[in-house]
Amino acid sequence: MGPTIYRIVVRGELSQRYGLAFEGMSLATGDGQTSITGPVIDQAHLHGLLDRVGDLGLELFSVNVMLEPASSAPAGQGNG
Amino acid sequence: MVAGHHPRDTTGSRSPALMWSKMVPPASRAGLITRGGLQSLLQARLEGKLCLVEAPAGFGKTTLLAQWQATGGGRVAWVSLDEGDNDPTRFWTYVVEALRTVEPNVGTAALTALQRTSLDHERVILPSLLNDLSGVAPPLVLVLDDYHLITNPTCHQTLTFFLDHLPAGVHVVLATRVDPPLPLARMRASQELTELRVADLQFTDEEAVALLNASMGLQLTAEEVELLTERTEGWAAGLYLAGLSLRGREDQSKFIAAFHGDNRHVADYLAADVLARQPSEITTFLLRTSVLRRLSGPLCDAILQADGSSGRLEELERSNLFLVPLDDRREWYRYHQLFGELLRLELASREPELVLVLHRRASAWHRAAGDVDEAIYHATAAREFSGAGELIAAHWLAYWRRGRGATVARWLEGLPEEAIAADPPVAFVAAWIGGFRGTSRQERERWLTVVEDPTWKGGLPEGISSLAFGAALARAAALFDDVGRAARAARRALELAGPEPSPFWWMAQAALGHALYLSGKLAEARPPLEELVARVSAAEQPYAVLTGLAVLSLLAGDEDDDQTAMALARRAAATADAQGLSAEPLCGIVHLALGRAMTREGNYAGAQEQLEWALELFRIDSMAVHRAHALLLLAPVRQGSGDLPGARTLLRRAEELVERLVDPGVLPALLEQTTRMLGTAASSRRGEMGASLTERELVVLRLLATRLSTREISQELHVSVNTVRTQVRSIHRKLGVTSRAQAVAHAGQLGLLSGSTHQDPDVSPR
Repeated sequence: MGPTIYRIVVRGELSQRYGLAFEGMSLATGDGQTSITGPVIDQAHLHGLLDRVGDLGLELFSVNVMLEPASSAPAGQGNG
Repeated sequence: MVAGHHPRDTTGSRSPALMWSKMVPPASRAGLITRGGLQSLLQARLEGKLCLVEAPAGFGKTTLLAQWQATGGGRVAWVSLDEGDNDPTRFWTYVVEALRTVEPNVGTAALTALQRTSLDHERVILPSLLNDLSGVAPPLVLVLDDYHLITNPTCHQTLTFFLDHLPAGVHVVLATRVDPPLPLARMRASQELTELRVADLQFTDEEAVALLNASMGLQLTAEEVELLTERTEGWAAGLYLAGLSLRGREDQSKFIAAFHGDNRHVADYLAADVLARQPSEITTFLLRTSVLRRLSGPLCDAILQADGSSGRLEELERSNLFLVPLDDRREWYRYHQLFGELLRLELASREPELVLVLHRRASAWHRAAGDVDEAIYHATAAREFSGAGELIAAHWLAYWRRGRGATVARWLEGLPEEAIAADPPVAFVAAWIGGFRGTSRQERERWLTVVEDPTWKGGLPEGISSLAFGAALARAAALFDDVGRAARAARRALELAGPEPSPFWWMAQAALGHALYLSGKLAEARPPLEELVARVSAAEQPYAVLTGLAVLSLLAGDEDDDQTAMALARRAAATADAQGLSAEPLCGIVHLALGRAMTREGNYAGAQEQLEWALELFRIDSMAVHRAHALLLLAPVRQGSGDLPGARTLLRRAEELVERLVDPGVLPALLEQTTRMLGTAASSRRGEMGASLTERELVVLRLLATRLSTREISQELHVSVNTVRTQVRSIHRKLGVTSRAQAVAHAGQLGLLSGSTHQDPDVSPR
C-alpha cells in the first residue's frame, strides 16, 4: 500500500520554479489556479506541504485525496 | 531600549544566553507607511485579554505592531518567536525577559526557576509570574510575533493557563498566520478575545496611494493605484513588490495593465521582475545569502567568500530590498520571511549545487562563533549529518541539564533516521531523550541496537564513558515494562562505568536500587541507595539523590516505619522543588513515595494529589511499570475516601496494565494484596449498610424484589402509599442507591432477600 496522492490547489498560476518548493509533486496551472499533485507519505508530510503554502504567501483553495491517478493535463480542476 | 548588550545565543557550560534582538520589534525603515486608522483600531481592540492579529504572510502584521509599539507609550513587551521557542523553557524565558524590559521587577523568581534543570510551569513558574504582574500599573501589553511557528502543545497549554489567569490591565497580542490552538471560542464568548483579520489588514486605496506615491516616490494616477490594489487585493507584500517593479520604469501604465490582466501569482510575477532589474552583484548577494536565518556582515562574507558584505547590507536596507534590521546597531538582519522564501526558491532553481555549499560554510562559521543551534541547523540543511551529529553529541548534555530537552529533540528531528542509525553517539542521545519524551519501546530498542555497535571507533556522547555504558544506563533509567531487565542493565552499567567517575554513575546506582525494590529484593536494594544518599549532594546528582530518597522512603514504609518514610519522602520532595525537578518524569517517584507516606497517615487528599501527579508524569510508555505502581497505591486512597467504585476502576486499570508488562516484578503480588483489601472493605461496608435497615424496611425491601407496584405493596402491608414511599426512600438512602432495581440488586448481594415469602423467581435483581 503506497503513499496517498493528494492534490493541493492554490490561487494564482505559479511558474515552474515553485516546483522546487514542493519536491516530488507536479504543478499544473490554468484558470488562475495552480494544482500541486503528488504522493504524500503521511500526515506530517501533508502538513509540511501546507506550511510551505503558507510560507510562500499562497492562498489555499482546496486539498483533496485523488481517487484516480493524477492527470497530467493542465487546467480543469474537478476534485475527485 | 535595552542597554547595548547583544550576546548571541551561545551555550557550553553556561546557560544559553539570550538574543536581545528577539525582544525588540524590527526597527522601522523608511518606505513603510503609517497606517493610522489601523493603529487606532488595534488600540481600541485591546480591551480584552487577547488580541489576535491574524492574516497570511505579507499583510504587514509585524510592521503594524512594530509601529504601534513605537507610539504606544513604552508599555509594550515584544517577543519575535521562532521555531526554537517551541522549547517551553526558552519560550517562557523570552516572555519573562521581554516583560522585564518594561517592568524590571517582574518575573525574578520565575526566571530563577526557569534556569534550573526542569520546570513545572503551571504550578510554580507561571503563578509566580502572574502574581508579579498583578502588581504592575496597567496597561501592559505583551506582543508575541509569529505565533504560528509554535507547535508544541506544552507551549499552547501553558499560554492558555497564562491567559486564563491574566490580571486585568495586562493584554496579550498574538500575531499569527493561523488560528492558534487556544480556547478561542470560549474567549470570544466571554468577550476576552478581539481580532484583526485580513479584511482589516488589507490596504485601502488611500493607504496604497500613501505607500506607492508618497513613500515610494512613484507618481501613479488614482486609477492606476486602484488597479494595483484590486489585483493584489490589498496584500501589502504585493503592493510593495509592485512599487519596486515600477521604480525607474518608463512604461508604468503598460506594466500595470499587463500585471492586472495576468493570471500569475502576484509574488511570482513581481519577485522575478524585481530581481531581474537589479544589478547582478546585488541579485547574487540576495540569492546566496538567503540561506541564512540571520545575516551579519562577517557571516555573509564567510559564506560568499568575499568581503564588503556589511556595506552591502546597509545599502540594501536603505534601498529597502527585503531586509529587516534586527537591532539598532545594524549588526544583524533577516530577510522578510516571504521574500526570503522566494529568494531561496530562485537560488535553488538557478544554483542548486551551491545551496549545500553555502549551508556548509554557514555551519562552520556559527560553529566557530559558538552558536550551537545555528550550527546544527545549517549542518543539517547542508546534509552534513555526521557534522550535525558531532555537535549534537557534544552539546546534548548541557542542554538537557538545563531543561532544554525539547531543543535537543528538535535537533534530532532534523536528522533522517538513516543518519541517526549510522551514528551511535547520536543514537544514544535519541534513545535517552526519547525515553523521557514518549518514544515507543521499539524505537528506543532500535536506537540502542545502534548504540551497541561494537565496531564504532568514533567519538562519544558528552558525559558517557563508553557506548556500552550508555546503552545500559538508558535501559536502566527508563524501565518501560521490564523490571528485571532494568536491574540487569543497571548492574552492567555500574560494571562498565570505567575508571573516570561519570556524571551518570550515581544515576545507574539509583536505577539499580529502584529496580531491585520493584523486583522485591528489598535487602539488596538498600545498600546502593544508602550509599548514594550519604555520599552525593542533590546539587551534583539531582535525579540520583531524589530516586534514592524516594525508594528509601518506600522501604521504610514497607517495614512499618512510617515516621522515617514520611521524613524521607518530604526530604525528597523538598529537594525536587529546590532543584526545580518536580515536573520531570524521572521524579515521579518522589510524588509516589510522598503519596504513599501520606496514605499511611490518613491524609487522603494529599495522597490523592501526589499520586495523581505521579500518574501524570508516568503517562509515557517508558514509565509503564511506575504507572501501574502508582495506580495500585492510589486505589486504597480512593477507598479510604469512601469512593469504592473509583478504587475498583483504578484496580482494573492497574490489572490491565500489569498483564501487559513483560516483567512487572512484585506488582502482581501488590495487585493481589490490594484487590483483597478492597474486597474485604466492600463486604464489611455492605454488612454495615444492611444492618441499618429496620424490620419494616426489610419487609418492604423484600417486596420490592417482586413485581408488585408501590400501591400493591401498601395494600399488602395495610399501610398508606405514602408510608411505603417514605420507607423506600429510606431504604435507597441506607443502601446508597437511587433506584428500585439497584436496591434489589444490593439486597440480593447482601443476602437480605432470603426469607421473603413473596420472592418472584422471574424478577432478576438487575
